[in-house]
Amino acid sequence: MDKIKRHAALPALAAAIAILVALAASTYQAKDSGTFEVRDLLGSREAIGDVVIRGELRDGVHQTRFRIEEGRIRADTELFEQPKQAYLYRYVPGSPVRYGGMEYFVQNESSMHTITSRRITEQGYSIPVGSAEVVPPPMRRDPEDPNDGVRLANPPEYGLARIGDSVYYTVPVSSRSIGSSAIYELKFYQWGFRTGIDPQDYAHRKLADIPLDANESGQGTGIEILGLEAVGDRLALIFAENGALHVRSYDVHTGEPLGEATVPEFRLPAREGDSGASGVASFYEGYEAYPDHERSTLTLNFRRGSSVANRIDMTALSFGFSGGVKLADRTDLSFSDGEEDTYSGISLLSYRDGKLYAIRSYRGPETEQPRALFDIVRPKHLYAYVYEQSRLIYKGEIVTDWNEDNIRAYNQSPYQGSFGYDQTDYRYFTNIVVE
Amino acid sequence: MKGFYRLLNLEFAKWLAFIATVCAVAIFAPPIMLHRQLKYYSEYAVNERFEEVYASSGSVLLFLILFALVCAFFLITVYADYWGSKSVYTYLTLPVRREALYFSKAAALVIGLLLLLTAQLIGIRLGYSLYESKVAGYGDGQFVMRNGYFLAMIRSEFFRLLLPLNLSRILSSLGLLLVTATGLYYGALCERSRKYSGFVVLAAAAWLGIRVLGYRLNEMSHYGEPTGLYMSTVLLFALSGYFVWHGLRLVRRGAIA
Repeated sequence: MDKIKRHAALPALAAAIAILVALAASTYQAKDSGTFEVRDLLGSREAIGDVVIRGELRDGVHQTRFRIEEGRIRADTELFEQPKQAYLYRYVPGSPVRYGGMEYFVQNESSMHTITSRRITEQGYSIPVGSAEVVPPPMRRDPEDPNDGVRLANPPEYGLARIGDSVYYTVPVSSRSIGSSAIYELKFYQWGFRTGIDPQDYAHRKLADIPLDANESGQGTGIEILGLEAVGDRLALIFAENGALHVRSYDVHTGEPLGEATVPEFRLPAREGDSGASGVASFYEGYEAYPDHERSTLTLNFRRGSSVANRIDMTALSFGFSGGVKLADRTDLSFSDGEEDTYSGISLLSYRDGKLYAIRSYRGPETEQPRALFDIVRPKHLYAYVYEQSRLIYKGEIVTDWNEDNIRAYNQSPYQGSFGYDQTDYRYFTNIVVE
Repeated sequence: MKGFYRLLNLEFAKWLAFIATVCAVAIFAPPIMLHRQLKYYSEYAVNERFEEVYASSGSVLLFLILFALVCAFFLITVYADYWGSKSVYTYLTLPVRREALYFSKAAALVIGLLLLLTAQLIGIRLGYSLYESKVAGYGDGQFVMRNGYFLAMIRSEFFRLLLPLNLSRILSSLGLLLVTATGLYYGALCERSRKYSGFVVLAAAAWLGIRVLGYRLNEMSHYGEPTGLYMSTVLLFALSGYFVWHGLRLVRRGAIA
C-alpha cells in the first residue's frame, strides 16, 4: 500500500489523460456511424449513375454532407464550432424569393407593388437594403362579375427574376388587367429614404412591353401572366392565353423576344370564358420553376387536380432555351408516397439528356408511426425518381436516421398542449442539388 | 526534481482515499439516479432523449457538488498545514526548492479535477448504456436512437462543456479548468499571506469564468455572431499564468508562513 502511495500521482495523471483522450476520440469517431444509404425501390441504380446528387443533412450542431456519384453514396459529418440557428427557408405564397445572398419581398398594394431587397446575414435573418416601386396596369371593372377585382394570376413574387446583379419584374396580371404591362429592370433606391429621392432618377428600364389586348373585351380566357423566370442570360415570360401555356424568351440586354413555345390544352381552374371540356384536369397556377443555367433548360412543374385521394399529380414541362424556346419534354408525374411536407419538404426537378430527375420528400401516413400524434413528427422519406420519356424507370430512397429525432415526441398528446419544435434539434435535408 | 516528485506523491497520497471515493460516486451514482428517472418509462410514455433524462435525474447537480467537494478538500489540505502541527514551517525548511512546494499542491489539485472529469464522463457513458438497454426493451426497439450517444454528446451543452470536440471549445474548457485550479490556490495563498489585494484579480477571474460558463451553457440561444471564444480563452490562460506567477512569489518569499 505504501509503495502505491509513494508513486501514485503520475500514473493517476496519465490514466486520466489517456481515458479522456480515448473517450474524446471514440466519440468523435462515432460521427460517421449514422446510417446513410440509397435503397433501390424500383429499377436499376444505373439510372442515377450519370448525375451527382449532393446535399446536406443537418441540425443546429452538426451537418452531414452526402454525395451520390455513380450510384455510390459518400457521407462526411462535420461538427459546427458553435451551434447555429436553423433558419429553414421554404417558399409559401407571400414569402420572399431568394437569389444568391439576397431576398426579395413584394408587397402588393392596390395602386403599387413595392419590392424590397434584403441582404441575408449569416445568422439567417435579413436586413432591408433597397426599395423599388412598380405600378401595375389598370383593370377592367365589371361590378356584376363575381371575380371582379381579381388582379393577379399568381402571388406577385412570381414575377421576379434575377440575372447577375440585375433584378427584373413584371406584374403577374390576371385576365382582368387591360392596356399594357411590361417587364422592367428594377432600379432600387436605398430602403427607408423614400422622401429624399427624385422619382425620375429611379425610373425603371422597360425591357419589353406585354400588350394585354386579349383582355379588353372580357371574352374568352384572355391573357394571364403566370410569372417570370431567368435561364442563363435570358428571361422567360410564362403566360396563359387561349387555353395554352406560352413560354417566351427575351434577351436581357435588348428586350427582344427570341422565341416562344406553346403547350396546348393548358387549362387553369374555374375560369369563366373557358369553353373546354369538363372532366379534364386543370393545372394550378402556382408552379415550381427549376432553371438549369448551364444547360439553358427550364423545368416548370405544375400541380394538377387529382381525382385520387392522397395522390399528388403534377406535370413537368421542360423547355430548352438555346436558340429560341422549344418544349423538350413533358412528363406527367404521379406521387402516392405520402403527404407534402409543408414544413421542411424538398422538391427538386432536373431535366437533362432525355431524363427527368426528381428528388422529393414526403411525410408518411399516420399508420406508419401511430405513436407520433403530431403531424410534424411523422416519419419523413426522401425519394429520388428518374423518368425517361414519361416513364418512371427508377425510384430510390435515401435512407438516414433523421426520423429517430422524433422519438422524443412519440406519445406526446396534443391534448396535453403543444411542444417546441426547433429545427436545431431535429435534422433536416437542405441544399440538395443535382449536378 | 526528485524533491518535487516526492512532494507530489506526498500531496497526492493525502488525496487518494478521497478522490477514489469521489470518482466512485461520479461513476456509479449517475446510472443509479438515471435508473430512478427511467423507472416509469414504457412504450406508452414520452421517452425523453438521454441528455434530458440525465439532466432531470440530477446528475448535473451531482457533478457540481462533487466539483465543489474537490475544491473544498483542496482548501482543507492547504489549511491543514496551519492547524495542529503547523507543518507549514516544516515545509518551508525542507531542502527543496520553494517552487516544488507550490507545484506539488497545485498538481495534486489538477490531477484530482481531471480524475473527477474522467469519472464523470465514464459515468455518462455507463448511463447511456443503461438508458439504451432500458428503451430497447419495449416497443420493438422503436425508441432506440442509432448513434444516440454521439448525438447526445454534441447536442447537450453540459456534455459539450465536459467533452468538447472542437479546438476552440477544448481550449475554452481547458482555460476554465486552469483558472479554477490556479485561482483557488491563489486565493488561499493570498489569504494566508494577508495580501488581500489579490482578491480583486480573483474576483475579475471569477467574473470572466462565470461569463464564459454561462455562454457555453447557452450557446443555442445566441443571436450574435459565432465566436471562437479565443479572446476569453486567452484571458483565462493569462489570468492562470498570473495566479501561478504571483502564487510562486508568495511561496518563495515565505509570506505564507
